[in-house]
Amino acid sequence: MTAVAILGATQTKHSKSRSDANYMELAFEVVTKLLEETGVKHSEIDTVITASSDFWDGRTISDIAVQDAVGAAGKSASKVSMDGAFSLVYASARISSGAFKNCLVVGHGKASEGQARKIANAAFDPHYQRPLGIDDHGALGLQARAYLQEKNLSPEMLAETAAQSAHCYAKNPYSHRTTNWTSEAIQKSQLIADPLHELEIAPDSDGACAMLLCNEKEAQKRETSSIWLDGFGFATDVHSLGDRHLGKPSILSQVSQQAFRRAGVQDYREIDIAEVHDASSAQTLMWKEDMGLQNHSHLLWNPSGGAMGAQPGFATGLVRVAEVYQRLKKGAARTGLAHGMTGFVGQAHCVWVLRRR
Amino acid sequence: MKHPVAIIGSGQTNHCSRRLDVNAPELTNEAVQAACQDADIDIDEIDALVVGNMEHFEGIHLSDLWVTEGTGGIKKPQLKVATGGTTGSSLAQAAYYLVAGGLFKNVLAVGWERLSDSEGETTTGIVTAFDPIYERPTLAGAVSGLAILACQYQQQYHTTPEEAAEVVVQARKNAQLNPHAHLTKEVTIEEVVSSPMLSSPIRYLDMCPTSDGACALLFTSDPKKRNCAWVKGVSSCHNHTYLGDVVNGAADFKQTLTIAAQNAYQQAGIKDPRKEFDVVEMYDPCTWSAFAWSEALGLADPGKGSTIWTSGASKLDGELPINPSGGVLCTNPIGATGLIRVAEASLQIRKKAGDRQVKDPKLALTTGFGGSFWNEVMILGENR
Repeated sequence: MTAVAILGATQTKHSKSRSDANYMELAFEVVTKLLEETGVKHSEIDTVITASSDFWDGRTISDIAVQDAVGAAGKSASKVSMDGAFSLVYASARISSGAFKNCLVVGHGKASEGQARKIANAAFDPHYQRPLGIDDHGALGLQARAYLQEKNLSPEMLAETAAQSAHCYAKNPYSHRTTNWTSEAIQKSQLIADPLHELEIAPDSDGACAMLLCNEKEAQKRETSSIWLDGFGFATDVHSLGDRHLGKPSILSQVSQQAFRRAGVQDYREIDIAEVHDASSAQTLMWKEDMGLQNHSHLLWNPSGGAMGAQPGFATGLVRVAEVYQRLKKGAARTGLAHGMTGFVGQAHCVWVLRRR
Repeated sequence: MKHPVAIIGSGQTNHCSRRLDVNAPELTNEAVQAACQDADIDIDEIDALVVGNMEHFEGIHLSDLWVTEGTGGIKKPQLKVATGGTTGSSLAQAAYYLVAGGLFKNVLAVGWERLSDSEGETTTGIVTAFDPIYERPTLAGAVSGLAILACQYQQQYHTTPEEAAEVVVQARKNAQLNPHAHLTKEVTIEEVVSSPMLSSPIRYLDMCPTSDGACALLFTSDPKKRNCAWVKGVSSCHNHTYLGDVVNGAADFKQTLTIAAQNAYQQAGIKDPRKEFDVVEMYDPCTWSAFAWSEALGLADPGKGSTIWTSGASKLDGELPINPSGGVLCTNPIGATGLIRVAEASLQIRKKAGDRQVKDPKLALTTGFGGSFWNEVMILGENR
């Protein structure tokens, strides 16, 4: 892959319900803001990749619904029906091929317009698992229990971890959840899927995120240092819940190693900041271990609060990349890691390594 | 910077109305096994996959994650690209860019659709592509949009239903030579123009079917000594979300394909498409669209598209064979259909098209079509 830089990234303030806007308008909001911030005009954007889910949008070919909002009409564009972090792979490929000098990537999710648990249920094996009524929360509960047993940890650990996330997302102006919950309050929140309480599970949010990528030549036209997408890794694991041990290391281990290798990361301590999509506080712990970062004492871990603060569907992973990008740009760190997932309890993972140069 | 991209393997199931004997992972597995065998490659050598399927039609959310076990994608990088009718061609494009960009060497594109016992249904699904407040109550699925195209084309150029019928008559004849084709029964012009009206002027036999089927196509930057087809040009264009924005009749319908074609022709160095292409695999969801597309592609003057078929030039032994596979009119597993166009064209270039082989083709033109006038063009050639 040739050098690909991020020119800019924007996100909405995520929330439980954006009753003032449909999802096209959410996409339009972030794209408009992005063009303003970067000074790039619509006509200068060569190609667009969107991330959207037909089921979530209740709209088949969901990318068509947002094409006007993202300015894809008349252009070569495509879509990845997965979390936005995966869309960045396709976007990078389009730029690396030399066919396009830049690429706009937009992801959105409007959970308030759908029945989240019912939609999640429709992703399970249609013959054997869906009839059980299992959904993403149930699967997260199974995973959390398997993890606690595997590591011989008490459920209080989940609450403490969720409280650490709350401490961060309470400071994040874009976050859906805004309260600095204590672990006591978290343990008192409604039990959703044993052992997980409501505040130990990421919320269903409305939100969008837009990002503009460009090739080396375009990046060098800017006077400031750039943030580069230096390496990626992604892979899909087995589908059926019974076919993988939910408490043991996931395919994220393999995926993060691939990203490190591609980015030339020799030692995990080079990573200054990491943003992961943690759909539960068990995952906040698990993903860190899967990537071999648990002993990294000065790692800035999910400073935004992660997905525990906001989970706007397929925009969630893209928001992680945006959060790392913003912090690298401010000079808070030099090397960052961003993570996204698709599929319940993380069947598919995608990791990006970003650097400021 | 750009890696050259070749197609080295192609696999399809035998498309039909109902594959009740397999589920989706098993269906895609058939096509993947066939493609790997054709390419003489082990599944372990596949570096990444792009898969596509319309989950809404099937009523299976994240269907890509379910079929992983069938596609050989477990523990591998796999992306899902689903763009409606263009899904298959979008898959081909995604695979192309992943290889051309140097991200992966061997990329397998897999498209499929299996609607026979799903909870979804094509038209029910497609209806949701339309704006829920302004358009959905009045527009019905894919047929309605195409009927508007056909109506405007007919009004502008006075092409007759008999001329349109010629397209499917020839398609069915070609399909008889294709072991993968779904509809192979011969039809006469009489039968076509007297078949039940779906949405004027499109009659039942003017319209493509929906099929159960899968297609797998292997793209690589390192074909070694294999018999392969090279990708010479890739482009895509789409515009109107709302049908009401179509105000210039047939010209509006042809606009995005014209733009995409010109872009691809420039990349491949094509100056006279009618003369230079030896075979065309075109995405013809209905008979009438074939005329509009052939004009947008520069294969005929405006209003004269029908002459390619009525003159016999489009026949297998004609001057410009079109859809030797039988095209979309005979076979339409939606997630695969656009990919099948590229697969069939690659078989033609590689001289592996069996009884439907066109004589010595050097350059092949393929198109994909879908919602919002989405048109995708990919050109294949025998030389790098």
